Amino acid sequence: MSTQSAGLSRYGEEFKTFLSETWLGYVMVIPATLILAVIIGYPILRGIQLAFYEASLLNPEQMQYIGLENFLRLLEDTTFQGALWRTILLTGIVVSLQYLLGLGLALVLREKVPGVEIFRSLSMVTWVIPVIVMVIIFRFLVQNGFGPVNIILGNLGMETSYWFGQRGPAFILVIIMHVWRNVPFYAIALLAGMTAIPKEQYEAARLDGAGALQRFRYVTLPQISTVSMIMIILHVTFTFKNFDIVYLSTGGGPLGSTEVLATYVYKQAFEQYALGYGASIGVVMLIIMLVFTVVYVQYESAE
Amino acid sequence: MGQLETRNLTKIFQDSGQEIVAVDDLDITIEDGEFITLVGPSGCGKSTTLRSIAGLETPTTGEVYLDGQEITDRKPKARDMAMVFQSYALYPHMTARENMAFGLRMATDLSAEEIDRQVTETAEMMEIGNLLDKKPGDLSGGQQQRVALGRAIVRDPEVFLMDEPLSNLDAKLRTQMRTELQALQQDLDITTLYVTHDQTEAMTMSDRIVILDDGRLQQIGTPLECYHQPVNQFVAGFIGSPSMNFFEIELNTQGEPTFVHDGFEMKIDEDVLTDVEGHESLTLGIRPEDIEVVKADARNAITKQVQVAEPLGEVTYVHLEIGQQQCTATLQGDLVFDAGQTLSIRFPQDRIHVFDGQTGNALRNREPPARDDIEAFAEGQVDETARSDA
Amino acid sequence: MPQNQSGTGITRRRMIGVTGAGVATTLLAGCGSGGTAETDSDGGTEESTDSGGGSGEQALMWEYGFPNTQGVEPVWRNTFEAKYEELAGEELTISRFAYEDLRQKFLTGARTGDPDAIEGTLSHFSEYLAAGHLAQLDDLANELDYFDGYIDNAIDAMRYQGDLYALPYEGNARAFFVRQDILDELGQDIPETVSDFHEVGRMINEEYDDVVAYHNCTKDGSVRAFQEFMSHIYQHTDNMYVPEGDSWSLNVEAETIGQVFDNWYYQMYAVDNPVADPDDLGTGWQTNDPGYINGNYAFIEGGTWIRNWTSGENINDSDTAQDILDNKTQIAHFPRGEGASKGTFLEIKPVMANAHSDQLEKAKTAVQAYTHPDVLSEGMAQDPEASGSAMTPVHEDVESTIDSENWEALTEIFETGRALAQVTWGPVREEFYTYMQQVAYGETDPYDAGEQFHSALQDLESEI
Repeated sequence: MSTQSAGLSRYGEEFKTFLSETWLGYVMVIPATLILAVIIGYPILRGIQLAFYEASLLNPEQMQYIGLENFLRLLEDTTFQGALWRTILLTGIVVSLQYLLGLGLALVLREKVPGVEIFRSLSMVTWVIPVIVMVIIFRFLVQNGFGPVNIILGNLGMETSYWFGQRGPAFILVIIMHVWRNVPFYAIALLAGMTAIPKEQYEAARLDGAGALQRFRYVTLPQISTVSMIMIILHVTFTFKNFDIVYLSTGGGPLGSTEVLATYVYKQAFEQYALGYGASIGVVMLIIMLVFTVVYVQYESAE
Repeated sequence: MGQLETRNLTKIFQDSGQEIVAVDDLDITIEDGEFITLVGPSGCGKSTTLRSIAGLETPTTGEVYLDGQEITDRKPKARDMAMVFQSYALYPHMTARENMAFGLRMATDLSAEEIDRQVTETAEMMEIGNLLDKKPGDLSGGQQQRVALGRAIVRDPEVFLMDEPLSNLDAKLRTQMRTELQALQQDLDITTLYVTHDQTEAMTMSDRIVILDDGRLQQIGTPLECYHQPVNQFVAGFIGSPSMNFFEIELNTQGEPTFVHDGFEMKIDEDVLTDVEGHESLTLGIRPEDIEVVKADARNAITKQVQVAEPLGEVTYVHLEIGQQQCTATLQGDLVFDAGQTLSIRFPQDRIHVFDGQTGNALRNREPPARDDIEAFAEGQVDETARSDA
Repeated sequence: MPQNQSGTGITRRRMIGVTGAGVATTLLAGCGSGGTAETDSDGGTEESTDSGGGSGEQALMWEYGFPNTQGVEPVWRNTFEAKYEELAGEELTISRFAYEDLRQKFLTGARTGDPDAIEGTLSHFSEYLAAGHLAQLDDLANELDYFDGYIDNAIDAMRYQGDLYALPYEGNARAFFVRQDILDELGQDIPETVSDFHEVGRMINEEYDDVVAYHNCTKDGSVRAFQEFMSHIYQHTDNMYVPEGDSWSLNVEAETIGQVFDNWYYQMYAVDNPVADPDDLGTGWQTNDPGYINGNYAFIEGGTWIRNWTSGENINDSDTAQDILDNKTQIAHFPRGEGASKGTFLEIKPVMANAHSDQLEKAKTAVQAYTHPDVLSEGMAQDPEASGSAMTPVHEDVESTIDSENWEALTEIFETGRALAQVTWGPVREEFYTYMQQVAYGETDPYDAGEQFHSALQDLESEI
């Protein structure tokens, strides 16, 4: 009996320890959770709420509930629709190019080409420099008359211009800036994914009769799918909501040809003072991104 | 057919300007259906040899022949060999079935149904039919091992190449797989080149073993040949557990011919003398299991204190110090000595090995067990005291 | 080893959470929160520094007025700090933000009570006023014995419906920058009418390979572009909008807007023989000002800040720049179109107190110190990095720093300047960019665009 009761009390002790440690855990987690809830949760809820109100940036207190009116207005707002289409197009093109080029770069970096080490450390520069500096560099590159790009084009006997000021080229330049900035980041991330694949799998595949392309298709690609997914979701989100690259380089022009949702939201909220209307666009963006993320992750897990 | 041959196979790696000779002028011929094991200590070149044969490494010089055809420069996939890796190298994103089917999908134009039939058949044979739809991450080490073997088998190659395939398994499973693998190889009758650093695997599984050291071939022969008749001191020391005891000795021919060592003297017979005469320095070798316990006054008896005794049940390992040199004797399990006890032992003359002290080459090996004796044992005609004369 | 792979399911699920949250916050909370550290008004430097958390009792001031050249003694700022300390008996915290950030942060965060005082532009002033963020300063003005010394149109710009909400510290009017040497070579006078200007401009384009006659800003969202447009509107009317009861009334004809569009955008870029270079379309002040200083343009619309801009990353050659600004530049009134008279955009820089500040007295003292004639004459005018700011001072006790005959016209031009009405200009600017670009890119006839812009401006009457 004595041993049994000793055993029981020992369980009791452990249970108490468990409880107190668990509680300690909760106690430690609660403040962080609350802070996160406030920092992340409040603005989202506030943003969603605003979307159903007419509210002015200059008088946010005097907001008026208008139901779905903001959203109905979006249906007739051709600038919004153009920006939405352009945002989707931009995101699609940018992320595809980034992924393809990043993958190619990672494959090159994986080989022991001389100078790769230096390149590897230098390549992140594009990702680290502030957007404004990048925009200044690109503005310099395509300066009318004496920007390096125009000098080259001029020497080739081709047309020169301040390309940010031309309707088609401005959009292409925005794409190029996005790509230029992030390709190295893709490359490094994908490279990390590739380096984690044991080389024996490639040897096994070689013995199994798989050629270089098949090894890439059947061994490499499936095993970098998770890191690919992370990169793609990250950059789809980043590109979809990106504001400063467009705003600083073209301001959405010329003639609205680079207007994207983020710049349109900015203009609505901070130039037109239409906080509620801007928030309704934000909600549309949020829904699109959530749907994209959920569908993509589902698809990826099903693979 | 799967006759495999290497001629003058040499592989030199460049490492920061330095040349490292991994395989040095290796000639091996492996007969069709043979199970050959490459053994040797780490870095002896056994894996490089295997990889050169597989086509994963390009030999610096030398050739590889399969059924008389040179395949040195063929791509791995064109060699009709299947390899099993130490890490199994299963594709983690594919199910066991997809893993096994992959080689057939890549290298043959069999229909999907046919591939599936063959995979299922092989899986049944490997007793992993119920695991086919699991991914490697959901399988135990032993199960992964079976899938890896199945992946090699389903290809029906000319040659199996196995690079330490059992070393990631726990001891018990390893013993079991060893037997299974051997049986499997005999069933399939496919030439197998097996790399291991574990001499038990080498001894128990192979038709012949190839012993490598420092990139060079030491000996090629059946396990027992290598055990009983090592060509040099390296092989003698490498094969057998616990290792053979070695003593550096001098030959004294003044008076009765005697091996002289700091810790003992051993009078030798004429036939031993004939074998070793004319060599300046000599090394005496005796396997622990060949050491006999004798009375202190017996001829050539060496009497020492037991330093450590390790009773294992079936046998007891006794460690003695003889002339500042460690000596291990494997005695019957019921002979349990305590440390500090005095013990007299003897190295029977028909069991000793003598090596040239300089080259390490064997000058004299013990007598191999005669086939007749074994058969006599088998028939129960042997006198219990038959071997007590020495 | 392969076992590791089983963890991916969890990773994925966790990821949805993380990215989902990331999406949500960045979309909604930010609402374009990206630090737009590039001001677009008048060629300031491109940077923003420390965030200015209120430091307890000390007053906090946000500003972008003081020059911020690395390694140079901040004469003006030091003088201001000394004056504040003299008046308040303690120090204050100054935080520097680019105007775009300053405005955005203040519009969204002024209600927290921080900062106590803020410096800005006239268009900020109207917006802050409309948002109810500005404290009335008449009582402060009554205490200042030097208050009457502020020039009238500067003080008028600081009033709304008779009450004073800011004090001015700097004023500058947009003027026509003319390359006198080029005109001399061509034997031409400074054009006084727009048609003369077009004519001499085209002549320059014909005669010179490396000089383009004119440049102005046409980038979407460029504040400077809007100010240039307003300069020409002010050649026709004192105010684009005039108060009418509680609302505003548009005070300019569609025809006038069409004419301004025609003269200053259509003829510049969209016609067959343009005065400016169509390849410069879509650029802002970053091309305009350095372009002139480097000698690429014969005429631009500029202000006092250009006076000593002879070094920096955008300047190709300091000596050339110095020569152009000292010897080759003549400041003049803008050429006038039909029915126009002398008039230009006038910037008056206000310093304001946050109505939500819980230490309003200190806030007012900061306003007082920033705009004090002593600080302006001993700080602003003496600071080698800012001497242009005192070329057209807003207080009679401050002496003009104009040191060149060629630049003397600024004083007279300053008197023809019109300050922006206290309208919330954001929606007006947004409409402007659309129609201006349509004209400049040759999409729309300038007079049609004028009609459309006019009707859009009328629609805004009640909103602004």
